[in-house]
Amino acid sequence: MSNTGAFTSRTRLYAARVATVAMACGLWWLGTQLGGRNNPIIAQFGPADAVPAFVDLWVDGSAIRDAITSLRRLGVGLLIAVGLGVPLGLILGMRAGVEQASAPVVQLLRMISPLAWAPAAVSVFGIGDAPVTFLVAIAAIWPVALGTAAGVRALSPGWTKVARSLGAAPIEHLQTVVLPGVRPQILTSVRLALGVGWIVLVPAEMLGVDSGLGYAVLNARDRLDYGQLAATIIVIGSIGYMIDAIFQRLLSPRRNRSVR
Amino acid sequence: MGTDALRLSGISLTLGQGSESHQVLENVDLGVRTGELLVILGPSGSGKSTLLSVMAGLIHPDAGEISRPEDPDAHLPGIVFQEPLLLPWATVADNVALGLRYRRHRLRTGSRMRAPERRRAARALLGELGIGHLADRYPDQLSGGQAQRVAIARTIITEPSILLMDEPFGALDLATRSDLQRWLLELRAARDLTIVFVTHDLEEAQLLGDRLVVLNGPLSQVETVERADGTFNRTDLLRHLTPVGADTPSFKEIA
Repeated sequence: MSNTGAFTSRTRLYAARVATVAMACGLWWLGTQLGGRNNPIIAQFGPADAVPAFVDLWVDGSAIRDAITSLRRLGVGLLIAVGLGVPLGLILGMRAGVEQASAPVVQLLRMISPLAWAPAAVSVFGIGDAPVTFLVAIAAIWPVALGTAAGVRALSPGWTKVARSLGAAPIEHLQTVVLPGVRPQILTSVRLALGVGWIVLVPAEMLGVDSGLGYAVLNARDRLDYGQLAATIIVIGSIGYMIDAIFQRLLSPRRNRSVR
Repeated sequence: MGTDALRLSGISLTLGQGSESHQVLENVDLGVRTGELLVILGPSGSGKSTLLSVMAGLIHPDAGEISRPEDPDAHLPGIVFQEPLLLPWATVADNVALGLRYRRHRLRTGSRMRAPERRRAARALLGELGIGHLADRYPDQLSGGQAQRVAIARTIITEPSILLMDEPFGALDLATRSDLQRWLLELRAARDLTIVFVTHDLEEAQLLGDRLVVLNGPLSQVETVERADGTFNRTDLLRHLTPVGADTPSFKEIA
């Protein structure tokens, strides 16, 4: 396969993507035009209002400010989820007995929508960053823990046999076989957790905080500024898409396999 | 020669639980002489791999004693499996250096080697074994024969008292296999190794072994055969390989 061929297919992919985005914008405009004939709220929701509203948000710096606040909460929540979820996943994956014994509790907790914890989180952590971070963490911990556990179970038992036969202490087995072996699964599950955390973050920010993208959504609604509401929604989606794309790039193979 | 590098006395082992349990080894007595290449020959399911795992300390027998008269310290046998089982995320040099960072090696040598030092030692050994050019490759860039050579290097770098090999060439094609057999004999002469080699291949057993132990499963009917005039008596071997009644577990040694 020549480079020109790869170049052409890439160009075609980008062209197709630009066309899809343009088409989605067209549908957005058309939908709000048609729906807005009898409903002024829907009319304001179109690109004609959203684009100037976005420019305003950008110029007065509130878009950046809210995004940074939200990303900080997401980051801290994810850090907590990884810090607790990876060790939990390692234990669940390495000790079948622990996993079987804890299954009712783990599966029950996993099925609770993180937002169900919101009132409890506010009453325990008060208002501010802490309850939001807690809700992100509790949403993100399960993909991390269960993904890590599945990764541990997928490791070849032969590697453990080799480490034991060479005289590895349990901690050395963990360092040289288990952790490097599950590293790809941990990264994949963190990417999954990143998406879940971002989705939970926005409604979590509608509770008792006065900053962040979730708050910006409520604020726009309260001020009946539907153009700004639409602009904020687009910002939320774009940032989620970007952080996922960045993380996916970090996940791509780290060594050059061309030396064969 | 003459002294035993490893001695098994009265080893019995039952695997499985309840109605599915079966006795794999019964009252096995066997000595491995220092410097010899002892081949354990037997059909599938005769318990030869299990016997090797017992020697390696990976499985503890229900009864009996394992002694290494010349090795009072933590100088344990090293084992090579049928699959190379290399860590796919590490280079060949790092795979070979693995055992040097583990507790057993630290305790035995009394010193902690740093990563660059371990890697240097691995490269030196790979060079000595004639596979130095593989040092920077990853396991998925090796052929089956190359991978198994690397696995053997990984085991002998910690200088085990005995090298245990569990059908190490069983998964290789014929040409690669005979290549590795020759390589193993050179390696053994160069490093003065004591080797216990498990196989179900009669030709391989005759080619490699100084002495053969014939395991006649399902229960271990152990017979050892000495090499006489540089070769083994083929009819004698075949006679030993013929299965004996399963419910007459007994132990017989032919010197």
